[in-house]
Amino acid sequence: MGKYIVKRVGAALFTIFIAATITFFIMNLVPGDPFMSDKAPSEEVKKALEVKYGLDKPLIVQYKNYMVNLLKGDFGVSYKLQKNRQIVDIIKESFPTSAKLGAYAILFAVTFGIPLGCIAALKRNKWVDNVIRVLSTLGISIPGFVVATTTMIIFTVNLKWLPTSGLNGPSSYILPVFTLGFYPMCYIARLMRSSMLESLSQDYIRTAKAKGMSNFIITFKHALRNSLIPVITYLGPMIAGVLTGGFVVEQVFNIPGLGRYFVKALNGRDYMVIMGTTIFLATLIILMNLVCDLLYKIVDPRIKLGEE
Amino acid sequence: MAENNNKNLLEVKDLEVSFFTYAGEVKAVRGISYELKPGEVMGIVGESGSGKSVSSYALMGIIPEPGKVIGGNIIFDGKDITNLKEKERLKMRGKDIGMIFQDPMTSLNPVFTVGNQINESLKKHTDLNKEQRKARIIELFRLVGINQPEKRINQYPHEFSGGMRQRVMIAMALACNPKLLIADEPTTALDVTIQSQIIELLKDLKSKINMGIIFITHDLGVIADICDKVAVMYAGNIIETGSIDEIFYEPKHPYTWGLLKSMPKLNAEEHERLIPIEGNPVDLINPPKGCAFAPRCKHCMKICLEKKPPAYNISEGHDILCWLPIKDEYEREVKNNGKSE
Amino acid sequence: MKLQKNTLLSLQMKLSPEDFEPATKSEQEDLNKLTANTSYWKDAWRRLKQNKIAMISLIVIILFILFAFVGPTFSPYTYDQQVRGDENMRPCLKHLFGTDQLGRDLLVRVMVGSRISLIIGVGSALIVLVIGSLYGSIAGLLGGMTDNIMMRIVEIIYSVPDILVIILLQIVIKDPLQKAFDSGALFGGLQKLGPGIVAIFIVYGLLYWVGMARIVRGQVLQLKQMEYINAATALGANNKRLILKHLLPNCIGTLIITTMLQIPSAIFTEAFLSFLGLGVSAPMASLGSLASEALNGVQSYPYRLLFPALAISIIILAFNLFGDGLRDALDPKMKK
Repeated sequence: MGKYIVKRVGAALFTIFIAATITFFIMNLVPGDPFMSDKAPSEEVKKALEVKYGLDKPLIVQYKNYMVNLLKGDFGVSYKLQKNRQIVDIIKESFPTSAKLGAYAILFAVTFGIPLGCIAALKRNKWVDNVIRVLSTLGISIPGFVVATTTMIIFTVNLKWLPTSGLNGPSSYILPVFTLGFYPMCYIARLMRSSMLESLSQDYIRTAKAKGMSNFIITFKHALRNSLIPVITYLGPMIAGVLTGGFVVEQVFNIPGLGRYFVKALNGRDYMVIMGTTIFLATLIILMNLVCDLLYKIVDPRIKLGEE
Repeated sequence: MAENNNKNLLEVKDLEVSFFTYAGEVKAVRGISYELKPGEVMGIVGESGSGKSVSSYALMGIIPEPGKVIGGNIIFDGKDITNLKEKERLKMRGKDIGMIFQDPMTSLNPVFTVGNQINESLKKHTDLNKEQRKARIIELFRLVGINQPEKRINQYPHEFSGGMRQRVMIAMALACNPKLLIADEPTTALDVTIQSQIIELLKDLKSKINMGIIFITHDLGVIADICDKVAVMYAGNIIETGSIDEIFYEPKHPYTWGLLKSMPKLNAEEHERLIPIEGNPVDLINPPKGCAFAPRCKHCMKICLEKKPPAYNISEGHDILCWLPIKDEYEREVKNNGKSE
Repeated sequence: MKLQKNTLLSLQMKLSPEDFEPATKSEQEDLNKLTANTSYWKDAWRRLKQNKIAMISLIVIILFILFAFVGPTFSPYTYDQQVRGDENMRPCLKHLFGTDQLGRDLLVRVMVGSRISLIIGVGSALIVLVIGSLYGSIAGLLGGMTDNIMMRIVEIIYSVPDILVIILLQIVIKDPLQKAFDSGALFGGLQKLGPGIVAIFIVYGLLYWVGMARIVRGQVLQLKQMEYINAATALGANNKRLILKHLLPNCIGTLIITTMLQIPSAIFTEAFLSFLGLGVSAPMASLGSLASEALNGVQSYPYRLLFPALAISIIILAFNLFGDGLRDALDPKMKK
């Protein structure tokens, strides 16, 4: 089993390396110089800046330097948005907010998604099931920004029940968490439903019935455990989705997280920030995928650890 | 024939089961009756779709949706269980009646250990404490021939081979000493060699435990090995019942003849063809008004197409559902009447 | 009904000698009817027709297509026409959806935006289909080392977080594309769409085919086992003919479903990107960019957000529901 974990960790690290490399080269493909702003600097100033940031060296050398710095935890500095500020500091400052928001959203999604899916499966084709099915399909069809903006209009502008922006105090969490967690919740509900239906039609359920087990035990012991397995495989992509969905939510609700900063950098073409944030987020996603992968192998005893 | 065993363990009378699907009512079981004494092994033979499995699900009360029992009675150990409340049924299933199924691969829950799955049954139906249950499971494993039981209790189903899994199923079904064991095609999914091992095991158990067994299969060869009596099903009816010898040596129903003739012979000539039964299976949504087998029967008479044959008793314990013997008796009566006039 | 022993038959039932005459062959055959054997496609179509939700979704899709492509011809305005004096109007008879702050009619902008969304949805799905199928069937057919390498590549692409790469590539491709358009090097139609949209196509083509490739490869591997492939090889067909004529038609069902479900996903992604500002360039409108623009004045003019939001939700929902229905209809393992 240890050998397997080492193998998977190695693969993950390799993927992170590839992602960082791809990001670096893509960013450096962009023509034009990174210092472009409203006041065009003079040639001398530009030259000086280039030397300062090591941009006069050949690309391969820049690449090597960048990667080495990454390992040291140095993401470089922002050229445009916050001149000369260490990007790693920017990340340290804004990411915890995003992380908190994301964690709550995931909690919300799982807490409501799983039971809803179960209920829909158990009351198959009755009105409860139909309502849940349509609503959850609706939920995964409506783009995040639509949910975000619509709820914002209804609840903060019109009804004035909840605050418009920022993350201070519990009531200001409600809308962002709901918006961010809405899509995953609906996805989980759908997944849970089909997974439960699949499990409930398996032969081992018939065996459990033949042993005289009650419906409660059959559903919550025999079927549920098997049904959760596909949901766990979804955790990885879900986390990625929550991270990227956070971009929109932070925009709309004006939350000072990493996502909002990232969007600012995108629109403002602050390449160092874009690069650094991308690599940071990519690493996070890849690591989370790794954790979920390992988790999955633990939950399903059929998968032999030590085998691919 | 022991006198004190005269009371039937199981009596099924005119049982009818239908499935109410979007395409219509599928009449899977159309009025079957049989009896089983304690310790007796009865085989139910038939093709797929004959209703043999469904009839046994009815005994347990586990007919899958959208099926329902729509007629008849089931009397188990003297008690009418046809309309039993679910709560009572739960107590009965696994305790008084045990069941094993066709595919041991999928019939065991893959995410729990085998010990856990048997323990569940014991916990529900008995008062044994934890150590006693564990001891019982080990005893059961020994009984069904699983080596190293202490170690294997904590293994998962995928760690057992097909034959071993079936032994686990049998152990699980026997855990609470049921009076009746229903075996629904237990050897169909197994290799022939494993098949015979399982049959031997069941025969062994039969002699050790005085338990009634209903053995459902489409394989006549297996029936011959283990059963005391046989019921042959076709299109939801039992068309012939009898002892092993009667069915194999004195079959009276054309379908039974067809079945016996179609069995591949081990000592057949090289180019001898297999003899199938001609025709197609019955449409159970619109079953024919006469005998269900009539369209495929080489001895079909006009009345066979018009009216369903009544049960005809050939000898003690040997019944058939066919117009042929009735024809003979009718012709005999007419001749007698003619003579006496 | 069980006959009583020792009681005369004649007392128990009415019988006559004719009853026991042998039945004729034709009488027997009448009852030996075979159930009708419908083909796979007819069966699937029948199942699909029965699915009310799927049928309604199909109608919605068709209406939407008409709305997006035929609609603008009925409008007196164009999407970039700024009507002086008509700025910031609420929905009224002159402008059914109202206008934005530059006096542009929103109804026609929503229509054009829908057009963009549909083009992107279907276009991306087609790109994914073509690239993915070719890649997957080649990998599956050739097998061995080639297959191994090809699938390793797929895995790497798979594990890199796609949204991030899309965003990056967007930025990178957009500017050079803009320059290419400005210099007049590429086709006029694409130019109108703007570099943002073309960039999305390119990016989709580079990334999203991997899922399709995996599925197709799986199908190919299954089909490889089948008899007629052996027969075709024996007859001397080379690999290329094998791919086009024999294998792909048999995975059509799966391909159709997967492609169909790609469409709402692509529309979703485009809306997301446009909302962040990475999609179409002004003055072209996409539903995502319209929503983004609407955010500014949303408190005073909520309808500016409502209409594009509604449009995009409806179209994605319709495609999802229809795709679901299609899957239920084409999947032979349907549970009823």
